[in-house]
Amino acid sequence: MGQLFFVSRYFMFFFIPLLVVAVSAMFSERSGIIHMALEAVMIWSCMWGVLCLQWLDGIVVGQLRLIIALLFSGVMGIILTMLLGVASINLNANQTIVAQALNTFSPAFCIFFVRFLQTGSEHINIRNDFMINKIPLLSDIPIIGEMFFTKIYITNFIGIAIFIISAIVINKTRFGLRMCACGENPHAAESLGVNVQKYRYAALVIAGFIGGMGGLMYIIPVSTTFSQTVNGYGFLAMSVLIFGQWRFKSLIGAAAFFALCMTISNSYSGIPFLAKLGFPEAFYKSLPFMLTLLALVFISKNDKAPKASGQPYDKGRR
Amino acid sequence: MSVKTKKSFDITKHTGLLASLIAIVCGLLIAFIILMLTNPAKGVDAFMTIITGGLRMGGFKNIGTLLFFATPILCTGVAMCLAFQAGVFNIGGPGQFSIGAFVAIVTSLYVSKDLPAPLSWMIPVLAAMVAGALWALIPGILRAYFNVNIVISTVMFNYIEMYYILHWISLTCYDALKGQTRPVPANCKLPQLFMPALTQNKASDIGILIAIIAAIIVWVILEKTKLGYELKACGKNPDATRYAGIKSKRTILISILISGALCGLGGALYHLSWSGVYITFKLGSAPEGFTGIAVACLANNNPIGAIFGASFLAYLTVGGNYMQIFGFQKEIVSVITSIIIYFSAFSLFMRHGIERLLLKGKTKDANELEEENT
Repeated sequence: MGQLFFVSRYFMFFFIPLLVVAVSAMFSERSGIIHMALEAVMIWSCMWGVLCLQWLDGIVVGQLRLIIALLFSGVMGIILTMLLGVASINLNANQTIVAQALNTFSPAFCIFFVRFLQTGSEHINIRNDFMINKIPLLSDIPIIGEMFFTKIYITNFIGIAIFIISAIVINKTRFGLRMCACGENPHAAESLGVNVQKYRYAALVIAGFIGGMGGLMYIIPVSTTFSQTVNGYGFLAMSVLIFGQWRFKSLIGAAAFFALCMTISNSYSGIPFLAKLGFPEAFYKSLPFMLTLLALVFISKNDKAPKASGQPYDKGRR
Repeated sequence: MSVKTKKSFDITKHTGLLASLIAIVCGLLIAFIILMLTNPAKGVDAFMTIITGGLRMGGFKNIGTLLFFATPILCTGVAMCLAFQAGVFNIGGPGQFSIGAFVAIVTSLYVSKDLPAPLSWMIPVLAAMVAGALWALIPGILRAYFNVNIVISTVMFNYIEMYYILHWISLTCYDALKGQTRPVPANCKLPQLFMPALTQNKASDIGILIAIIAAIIVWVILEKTKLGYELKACGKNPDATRYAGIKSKRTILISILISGALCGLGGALYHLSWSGVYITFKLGSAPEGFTGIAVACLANNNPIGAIFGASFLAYLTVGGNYMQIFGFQKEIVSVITSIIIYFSAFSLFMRHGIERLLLKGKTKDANELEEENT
């Protein structure tokens, strides 16, 4: 039983950030912009978030420190995403190349900046006192209480809240539906008086904020140091979105699938059954990426991607 | 009248170059701002070292170093030129590069060590090209037959490579004392011929010449053959090419195979060189693969232009290696590279802008001329 609790806790550490970052990609893609720079946004805003945690250490105590840092990394996420926005909305850039530029920029700049701040070392240590050991009442529920409500982080709840609110915003509100129209058929949307550029910017601001928070959410539970990498999480989140077919309902299942892969790859040595199989470490470490490819093979043949996603919007066309 | 047509011809021809220059200037400018913001006292010195360091600091010897740095990124750059022209966004450069490097090292250690001279280095190079091509082939198949997004699949392959290469190294050619791969036998290294005399650098070899030949071959393929025409057509409009009877699946596979082979070649040339580089036993992807994208962007996807793009970025890298003196990190060069890629991404927009500006100036001139005439 202890094993199950251990695994389920680990599972949540991976599940929540995957879900959150996939939601971030959802906003951007549904509005018509392919967001391949999630990795960059995560690394960049994670660095700022972790630095913010350091600055606040001793000034603010408890969960408030984490929440402020989360908001700060969200804001920094917006800034980096705007680079993608300006290039792809106003300057008709090739979105994949812009994203690649950001993906190169982000780790390089972070190493440069952190080494400068700490004179040489590129690892930032995080003093992590955010774990909530017990929640009154909820933790006392048998099994489920032990699985999901003990030794958890506040990010779990924030992540789920983000997911639910985003689902409502995109599927039920006027803003969300118009935004989706910009991703499906921007010319039709424009003809009905929707300002496509404005909606795409709005979508990217939200995507940047959520993606930025996702970066910090990923690093807080699993690590006590930040070393300018989020281990391909941005791209995994992108795959979650594709595997979830750009729909919120299937997103949960997709994120759960990938989180399970990540859990296996990170905790296999603690699970006797897997440790005994005798595969090399490299196999388990690369398992999420191999399974991602496999999953994409099955799903990509007829995908339901937003039709205008990735194309620069040209008012003059048709 | 004839002068006029000649002038307009020149303008349209050179806007691409102009856009690349603007991208470079923007990249350097932003790097300068970053340096000044982080340490105003040493920013100017550091920046001048990046720009002029390649020649100023090490003297003539640095030309050899420059060519050594240019070799791998020219290979990956040409690989990206071809892939991008075919509309295949091969981001898997780092993976294909490292696989090529690894296979070159292993074949030189186990297969070609005792073979006579030309074979001893040619076999590892060819093996590396095959390995790089095969490593790229799988994402290509996934793209062609299963419609899997090529950016994601190649990135996934980079991560798989990242973890597996350490495992494979530890099985075959690991030097536990130094934490890196075992050195390549001397007779398997690339021939040096006249290169050390030419560059005044003992570690120079013909790697750069092989890379330039590869670039020229790819240029010929792209510009002068039917295959190249099909590749470019496929990149411009895949639907139209399908209606025209070009097999787009085959085209995708061929382009990514060549692209992967070139990345593998880059890895082999880099690691069979006389400068003595090793694959360190550390998790991470080869930066040369990503720099290749910048080279292709600077060169506007033209393989011949890639020779100049690669030389320029190698020049910056040589200067960047002196950053430690000023308390900065050499990663600033990667920052410059990424900004150059960023600005190149909307080079088409810039080119239209430049054309419009130039044309505006020209019509003004014409109007003034007319006024003068009347």
